[in-house]
Parts: sequence; C-alpha cells; structure tokens
Amino acid sequence: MPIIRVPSLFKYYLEGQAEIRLTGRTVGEVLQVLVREFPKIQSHILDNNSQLRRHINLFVNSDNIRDLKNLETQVSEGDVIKIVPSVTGG
Amino acid sequence: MPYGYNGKILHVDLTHAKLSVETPPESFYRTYMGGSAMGLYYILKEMPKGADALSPENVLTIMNSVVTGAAISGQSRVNVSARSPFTRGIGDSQSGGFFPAELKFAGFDGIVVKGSSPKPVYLWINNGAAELRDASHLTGKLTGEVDQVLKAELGDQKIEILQYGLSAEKGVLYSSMMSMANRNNGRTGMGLVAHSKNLKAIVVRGTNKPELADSKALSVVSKAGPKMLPDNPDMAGLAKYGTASVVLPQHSMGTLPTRNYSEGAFESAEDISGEKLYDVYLRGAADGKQDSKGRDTCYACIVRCKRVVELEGKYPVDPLYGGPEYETIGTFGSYCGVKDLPAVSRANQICNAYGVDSISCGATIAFAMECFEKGIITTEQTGGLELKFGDPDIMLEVLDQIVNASTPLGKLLGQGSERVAAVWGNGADECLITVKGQEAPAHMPQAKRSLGLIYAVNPFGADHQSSEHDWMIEDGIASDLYMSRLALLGMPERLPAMSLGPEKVKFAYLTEAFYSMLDSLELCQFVWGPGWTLYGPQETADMVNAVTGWDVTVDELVKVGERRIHLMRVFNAREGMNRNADKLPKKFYQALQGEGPTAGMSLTHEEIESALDEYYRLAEMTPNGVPTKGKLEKLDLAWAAELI
Repeated sequence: MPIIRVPSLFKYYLEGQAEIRLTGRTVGEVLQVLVREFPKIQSHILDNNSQLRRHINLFVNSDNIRDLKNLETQVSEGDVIKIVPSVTGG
Repeated sequence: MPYGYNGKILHVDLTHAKLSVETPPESFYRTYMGGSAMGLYYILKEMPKGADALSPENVLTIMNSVVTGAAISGQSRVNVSARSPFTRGIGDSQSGGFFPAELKFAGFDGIVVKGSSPKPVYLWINNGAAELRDASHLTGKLTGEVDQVLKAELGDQKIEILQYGLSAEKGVLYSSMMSMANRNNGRTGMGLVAHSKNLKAIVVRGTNKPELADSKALSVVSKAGPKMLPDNPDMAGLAKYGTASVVLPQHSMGTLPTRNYSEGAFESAEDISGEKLYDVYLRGAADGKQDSKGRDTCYACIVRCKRVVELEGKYPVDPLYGGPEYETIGTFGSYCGVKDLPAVSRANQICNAYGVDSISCGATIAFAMECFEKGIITTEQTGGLELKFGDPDIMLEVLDQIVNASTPLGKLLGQGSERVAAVWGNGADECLITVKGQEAPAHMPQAKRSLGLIYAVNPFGADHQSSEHDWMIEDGIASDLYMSRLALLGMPERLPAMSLGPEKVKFAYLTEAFYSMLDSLELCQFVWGPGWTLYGPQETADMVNAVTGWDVTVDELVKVGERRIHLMRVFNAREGMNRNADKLPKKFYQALQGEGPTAGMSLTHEEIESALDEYYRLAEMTPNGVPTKGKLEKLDLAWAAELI
C-alpha cells in the first residue's frame, strides 16, 4: 500500500499520525480513502468541489504530481505521497 | 570605474543645508555590499552614543546595493535605517518598487542624512546633481497627493519618491517611509525619524545605468529564473496569489495569528485568503483579467507578486494604494477577527496613504480589542467605542483615529501597544505580543519554533523576514531542492519540525546570516533565498560576480550577513540593550486557545533560554549577547569593537 506522509502539524488531522498506509491505485483514490477515514483533513486539502486546493502540493516520492498525471498518477506499494502546503514567505 | 555601482555616497547635512559626495574604495563596497550593513557603518561611525532617535544627532541612512538596478528579478530594494524611536535600538526597514533602482541610476549608492532642517525640505537628485528644495507645501497631504504634486512640480512623471506620510506629522511612533504610495519601508518608525529631520521626501531621477562586469553571465543566471518558475510550485503560487497565498497554509498549520495571537486558526481564513483576493477582489477579477490588471511588480522583476485592488461601495479602494500583503491581511484580518477582505484592503490603503507600518498598526488595534473584550479597559478609555473582535467598521474607525491622531485613543494607540499597556495597566501587559517594543508579525513561534529564538534576538524586534522558517528543513517533508540549497550554508540534514535544540539553533543562525546578507545586498527575499525561492545561494553569488566582476563565494556572502547582525548588536549593546532585551512576551509562553494543530501549544522558558545560550555561543557573542572583540575582528569589524 502507498504511504501518506504529512507535515508534523498536520498530524492533528490524522489522529496524531504523520504517516499512514492507505489503499488506492492512484493518488486520487488514496486521497478519497484518506478523507473518508480522516474527515478532519478534508477541507484543508480539498476544496468544495473535491479538487485539490491550490496551495497544496502533492509529491509522489520526489516528484510533484503536477509533473506527472496529477490525481491520476499511479502509485504502488511503498510509494510515499507527501502532502505539503505551499510555504512561501510574507 | 566600478561595475554595478556608482562608487558614490551622498552626505546630507540638513542643519547647515550642505551636500557632499564621498567616493569610498572598492574594498568598502565588498565588505558591506550596501543596504543595511552599509547604513550601519555610517550610523555607528557618526551617531554619538545615547543620541535621541528624534534629535538631529540621529543618523538616517538610505541605501541600495552593489547589484541594485541590474537586469534581473528581485534586486530593486532599499534599506532605511537609523536609531528607532519605537524600539529604542537600531531601526531597520526594507521595501521594493522602482525607487531603489532609480536612486542607483540617479548616481548614488546611498544617502547619509544628519542634522535637521529648520523647515520641511525635499532632496532632489537628478542624474548626479543634488539639491535641497522647500517642501512646506507638501505637509498635510496623503502620500499619493505628494507624489502628484512633485511630479507636476518637476515636470516629470518618471521621478521616484521616498517620503514620510501624514501620520509622521501627527507623531505616530511607527510611521514609515513610502514610495509609489504603496511600497512601505514599514517597520521601526523610520518615517518619524525623517520627519524629525524635516526631510519630507527624497526625489530621484536617473538615466545612467552602471556598467555590468559580465552581462552574458548575468543573463545566464537571469534566464534560469523563468525556466524554473513553472516547476517551483511555491513560487508559482506566490506569483499568482501574492504573499497572501500563505493565509490558508498558515491556517491549516495552526500558525495564523487570530484574535491578537490568542489562537492559531481562524474560522474565516477562506474569506481573507489569497485565493479569494485573486478570484474576487483584484482589479480585473470581474472580467477574468486580474493577471494583467490586478498584479504589479518591481523594477525588472518577472514574479509580479504585488496586488492591485480597486473597489467601490462601502470600503472603496483606490488602486494607487495597491492591495494587502499577507502581513496586512493578518494584522487587520485574523488578528482583529475580521473576515471582510474589502475592509482589510481599505485598511491597507489607509496605512499606505498615511504612511504607517501595517503590522504594528493592525496589531495594536487587535491588542486594544483584546483588552476591551477582557474588561481591562472600558468605553471610558475608548471614547465610547465597543472595541470588539470581528467588527470591520470598528477596526477602520480606530485606524482612522490613529493615523490622524484625532482622538485621545488614536493618539495613544499611535504609540504602539507596549506604551499603551503601560498607560492602561490593569493587566494590559498580559495581552502584549511585542519584542523590543515592536509587535510580532503573523508567523507564530509556537508552531515555527526557531522563530521564537529569532524573534527574541533580532536587534530590531520580532521579524519574520530575518531567517528561514522551520518547515523549510522539516524531517520527512523538506524537498531535495531546499536541502541542496541549505547544504551550501552548512545544513545538510533535515530536522524535526518542533525542535529547538542545537541543530535547529544552527539552522536559525545560518539562515539568519543569509537573510541578513539579502538585506544588505537589498535582494528580495521572495526571489533570492536559501530554500523555496527562485534563486538559491549559489545563484546569488553568481549574480553578484556577474554584476561586479568580483569572485565572491557563498561563504563570503554569509560573512556579510554576519557583519550586519553583529553591527546591529554593537549598536544595541552601546545603548544598553543586550540579553536583557532579547525577551519574548508572556503571551508566547501561555497555551494557545481555540482549535487546530497548535491549540494548547506554547513556548517554554527553558527552551528559549537554552536556545539563547546556544545562539550566543554559535555567534561567538558573550553569554549576555554582546559581540566579542575576537568575532568582530574575524568579521573585519575591529573598529566596531572600540565602541563597546
């Protein structure tokens, strides 16, 4: 199963866990499982139309999904999907 | 003839109305590079110990750098420094736009101002020729009006103007210097210093770009930027949504200061987000043309992160005054519990039109709101106003009273929350979020632990643009790009997010030195930096070399940054400020309320004191936070050691 990894402060939305193994053949499928099992995180990563929020970056291992196939990017055992909020300054 | 810079510093003696030009050697420029570091050299050399910030003895410096005006993004910035009337220590402020480059093209790398004029004057610099002119007719005007008058008077729409605003004339302690009516040298009250000298404005016009050492090499560095932009999602977000792009991530992480820093998550964060600003309120948004009409930029910068808002109705906004940055959205939005973005944009306009620091101003209003909500003050102190969180009209009414100093409440709040707390008593100090008297910006150290240290030690008060933030090096999260850049500074390993141990202190110090260098090279920290920015440390060195013909290394640049830090601490130490001033407010040690990832979190005295010990050791300062002779000599600052 692929692994979802979140920043330390996002553990709050995942009952204290920074990494979780979830089922899914694509990034989109894994996210659907994630928000179903941990609904508190949903509004922070998906908008009202269930689209990935504009300030959320998703990486499969080191690659941004925007450089791959977005939510259709395929994932397999051991792949790490990192959820990383955009971190610009200001 | 130097490459990249003019080799000329203009000295202005306002008391005797005398101007002179200094031509320092190349070694001087290579040592200080410009900006804040260069300004500090003159301030320490020429301002006597103990001089009052609002006396003629204070020295005001306006500096660009050796690379300002080069054809590459993020280089047109200017530093204004002096002793701060607000923090009582060294004052430092930065802004961008077109004034910095124009000052370079007008023939000068910096201006050193001493004394004070018997009547208001402006300094007019036109392609190398400088003179003082009467500015009496400019008093009592908004910044946009002053710009219009001067452009008509001088018959040139292309002049650039740096001015203090009406609020400085009213004595607001955190008055700022403004250019373009929307670029704000915000922090530490430099506008009030300029007003104390009766130097209403510096007006520049220049057409002489200094020759570059290697234009081809600069072009190589420059072209790498646009190519990287689509692949750098953080930069793409900054470009499109401005610094406001960070509102929602901050909220989700629990580090969006809410209701005067009492909580870290704001239930209405969506309403004040960068996306909302872009989708609905930027000029042109109604027609889907906000990218062309609602975004602005600085000289030669491709990023175009500045906002332009144009609104009618209850909260009208003139696009001349720009649109709110993240900090302004924080302090007038979530700090005050206000979710009305047009009202926040209106507040931004007022701050820019009158020339005040939006961080200290909004935060002081939020402080007053908390005092009222807790019953520390009543309508007796507020002139009948119910200062409740969440009321945009009250927020704007109080703002109006501050910038005009039109009521006892407005005059008092114009002195900043720390002085207000001393007057109100009754436990008001429990509501403070100040360090060295200056209100904290909208990045919470409870979540970004290393900021707790930086907020404490930064010589001009809590500042979020003086180091990199913790999530840049977070274990398991930080990208390979960020880590490859941080490795150049000596930080190759990822670190736990919430630690403040020795390795995190090292991260704080090294990135502080790098940011300090950026504030001396006057480079935009949203384009140049050690992590998420368009260009990293090596590109910074390559760019400096392409412009100047030097052979600087990243290590040499970091040393410039260390020089600035140490010179600032020398200044403060000379005035009796050392570890005794490196104190965080009580509120940061109390558990955050509300909900979200940081609810219940606080800093601890033990970790901060331990971090301070480690920081001073790393920086080779005394345990009391005073620069040592040995370190100053290593930094080629032996002359500064004589001052303390």
